[in-house]
Amino acid sequence: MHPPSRPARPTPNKTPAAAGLLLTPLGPVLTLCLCLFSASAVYAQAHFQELKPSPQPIHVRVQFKNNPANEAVVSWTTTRATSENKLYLSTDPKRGRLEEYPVHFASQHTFPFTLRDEEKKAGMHAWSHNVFLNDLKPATFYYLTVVSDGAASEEFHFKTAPDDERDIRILMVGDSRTPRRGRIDRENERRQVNALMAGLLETHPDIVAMLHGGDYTNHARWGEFYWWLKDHSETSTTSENRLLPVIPARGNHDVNPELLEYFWWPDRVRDFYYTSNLSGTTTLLVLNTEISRGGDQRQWLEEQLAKLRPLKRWLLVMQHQPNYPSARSYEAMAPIREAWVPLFERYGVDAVYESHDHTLKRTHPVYQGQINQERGLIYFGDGGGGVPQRRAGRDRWYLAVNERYHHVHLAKITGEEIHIQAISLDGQIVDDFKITLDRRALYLREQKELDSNQ
Amino acid sequence: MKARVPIPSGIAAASLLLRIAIIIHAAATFLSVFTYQFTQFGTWLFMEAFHNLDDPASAAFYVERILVSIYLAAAVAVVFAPAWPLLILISGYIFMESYSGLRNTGHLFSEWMPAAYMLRYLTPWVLMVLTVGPRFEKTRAWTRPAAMGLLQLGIGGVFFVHGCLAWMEHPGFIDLIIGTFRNLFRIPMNESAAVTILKGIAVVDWVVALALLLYPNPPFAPDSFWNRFPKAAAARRRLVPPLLFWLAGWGLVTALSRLTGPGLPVGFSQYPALLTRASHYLGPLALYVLFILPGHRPHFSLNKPDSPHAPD
Repeated sequence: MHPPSRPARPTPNKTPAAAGLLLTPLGPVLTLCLCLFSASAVYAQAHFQELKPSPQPIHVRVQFKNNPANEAVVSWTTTRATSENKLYLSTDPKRGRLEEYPVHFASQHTFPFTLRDEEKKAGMHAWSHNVFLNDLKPATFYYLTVVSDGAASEEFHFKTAPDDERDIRILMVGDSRTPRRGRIDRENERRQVNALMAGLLETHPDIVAMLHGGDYTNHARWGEFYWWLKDHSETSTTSENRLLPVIPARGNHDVNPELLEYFWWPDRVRDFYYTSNLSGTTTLLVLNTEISRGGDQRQWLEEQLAKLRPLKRWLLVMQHQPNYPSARSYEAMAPIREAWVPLFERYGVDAVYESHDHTLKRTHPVYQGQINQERGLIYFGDGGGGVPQRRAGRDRWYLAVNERYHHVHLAKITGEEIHIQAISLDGQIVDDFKITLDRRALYLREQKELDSNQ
Repeated sequence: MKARVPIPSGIAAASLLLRIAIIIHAAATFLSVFTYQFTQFGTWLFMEAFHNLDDPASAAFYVERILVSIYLAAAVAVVFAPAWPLLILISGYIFMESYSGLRNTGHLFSEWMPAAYMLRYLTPWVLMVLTVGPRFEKTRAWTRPAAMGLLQLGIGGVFFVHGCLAWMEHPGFIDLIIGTFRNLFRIPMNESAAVTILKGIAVVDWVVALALLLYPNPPFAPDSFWNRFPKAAAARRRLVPPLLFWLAGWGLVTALSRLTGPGLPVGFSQYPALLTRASHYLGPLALYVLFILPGHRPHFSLNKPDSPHAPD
C-alpha cells in the first residue's frame, strides 16, 4: 500500500523559449572558444626545437646576488654533455687567448637541465655549467672566456658593482614572457626591450645590473626558458660583448623548481628573497610574492629593514605582484599590501619596483593608504619587458602614471636623489621622476625621539 | 493531458540549493570580471587568443564581459527552469575557467585547478540529474543515488585536493591562517605554527573525504546498500548528519577566510572569493537534504533504510 501523495509540483518537461533564445548566441561563442583552445594547443608546440648536440658554449651570462661588488655566478649552456668545462678570467682583455688569462676555474656545478617529456621528444637536451666567483674587486671590469671540451666562446666582459658612495645606475624590467607564438620570433618585444637595455648599457657604463621583477616565461621550463636565455644572451649583450648581469626576482609564472637551475647560485638558502648591496649607499631587498608573505619572509623583512635602515642612504624593494596594482582590482592585492606595506612605511623604504600588471605605472607618493606628498612612498613599474601590454588609463586614486608601453626603467642613484626614467621601445622617455626625501635621517630622528620619550 | 510527475521533497530541496549555488557562482564571476579581477579565462584570451591584436587586453575584456553576462543570464534562467542545455553550458564555462588556470600556470599549484574546481563544474550536472531523472520511469529510481554519488565525488574530491594542497604547504593557505588569527583573534602566529595547523587540516580533509566515499552510500550504490549491514545502517543515521554539517561548515569557514585573511576592512571586490565557493558549502547541504528528507514516493524514502518502504 502506498501512502497518499501530496499535491505535486509540475516538472518542467520542455526547454523554455527563453532558454532557447539564450542558447542561440551562447552556442557559437562557446564553440569559437573551444576552437581557439584547440588552435592554441597546436601553437603550443611551436617553441620545441631540436638542439644540435654541440660542446659550443651558448647563453653565457652573469648573475649577481647579495654582494655584486665581490661575487658573481657565470653560467653557460652546452647542448651535449661535456667533461671539461672551464672559465678563464682576467681583469684585462685577452681576446680569447687562453694561455694569457692569469686564472681559470672549473665549473663547480654542471648538470643537465630538467626536461619535460615533450622537450625530450623534441631533442632539447642541454647542460648547464656554473662558476661561482668570489673575492672579486669592486667596480672592476672582468674579461672571461668559457671553454667546454675545447670549444671556446668569444671573450665577454662584465663589471662588478662599487662598494663606495659613487653614483650608480640600474636597469629595471619585469614580465619578459612572450606569448607562445611570438616566443621564437626574432623581432619579438622581449628582444626589442633587451636591445634597448644593451643600448643603454653602452651609453651608461656605470649601469650595475638589470633587476628583473619576475615572470621570465609563461612556465619556468626548458622549452620556454631556452628562448629567454637565448634572447638575453643575444640581445642584452652589447656590441662590445659586455654582459648585463641579472638580479632576479621570482614571479607567479616562475613557480616551477626549474627556475633554480636557470638562476643557479650556490647554497641558495631562502626561496628567492634576499638583499643585494648595489653600492656602498644602496641596498635592494628582493621579495618573493609567490610564497607566504605573512610568515618567515615578513619576519626576515622586518629584521633586514631594522638592520639596514640606519646604515643605508637608499633602500629599494623589488617584488613581482604589486601592492598598488595598475590594472587589477585594488582589493585583490590586499593580502600582499597588508603583509608588507606597513613595514615599508615604518622603516622608510625609498621606492618599490613592481611588475605583474603589464602596464607602465607610477603611483603618487602613498602613505597609510592616502596620497602624502611629504612622506609618501612611490610604487612604480608593472612589467613591460616583452609581455603584451594591458589597456592603460584606468582611473585609480593612487595612480599618477598608467600607460601602455613596453618599457624599461633606468635609475640613476646619487647621494642626493634617485632619478628614475621609464624608456619606451622607441627610446622616448615616457616617465620621469625623482626621489629625494632622506628617509634614513627621518627614521633616525624618529627613533631618537622615541628613545628620549621612553 | 499528460500526467504530472511528482518530485520528492528531498530532490526539490536539493535542486533549490544547487540552483542557488549556481546563481551565486555566476554572480560572483560576473562581479570578478567587472571589478577587474582577472580571471583565468580572461588571462588566456589576453595572452594567447588575442595577443596578435593591437589591444589584446581590451579585446579579451570585451569578449569575457560578453561571455560572463551570457553566463549570468543562463544561471538566472536556470533558477526558474533548469534546462539541461543551459546546465551543460554553465558547467562548460566553469570547466573552461579551471582549465585556463592549468594552461596559464599563473600561480603555485595551478595544475591542480581543474581538480580543485571539481565541485563547481559538477554542480550543474547534479542539478541536471535531479531535473531530468524524475521525468522518466527508467531513471526515476536512479535519480537520487546518481545525484548523491556525483555530489559525493565532487565534495570528496574538493576536500581531498584541498587536503593535498594543505599538506604541500600552499603559501596562500599559510597566509590565510596567519592573517585570520591576526585579524580576528589578535593572535600573532609564525609560519611554522601555521604549517603545523595546515598539516592537521590536511589530515582532517582526507579523513572526511574518505568517509564521504562510504557514507551516506558508496557513490552510485543503490539505496539499499547499507540494508545488508544493519548495525552500520544504524550508525550511518547518526554519523552522516554531523559529517555533512562539518563539510558544509568547513566549506563556509574556508571560503570566509578569503575575507578574514587579508585583513579589514573587506573591499567590495573581495567578496567574489567567498561567493565563487558557494557550492563548497551549499553542496554538502544539498547532499544532506537528499539524505534526510523523505520522498513522498516509497522508493525515495531513504532516511529509514530498514523501513517497510525501503527498496528491495
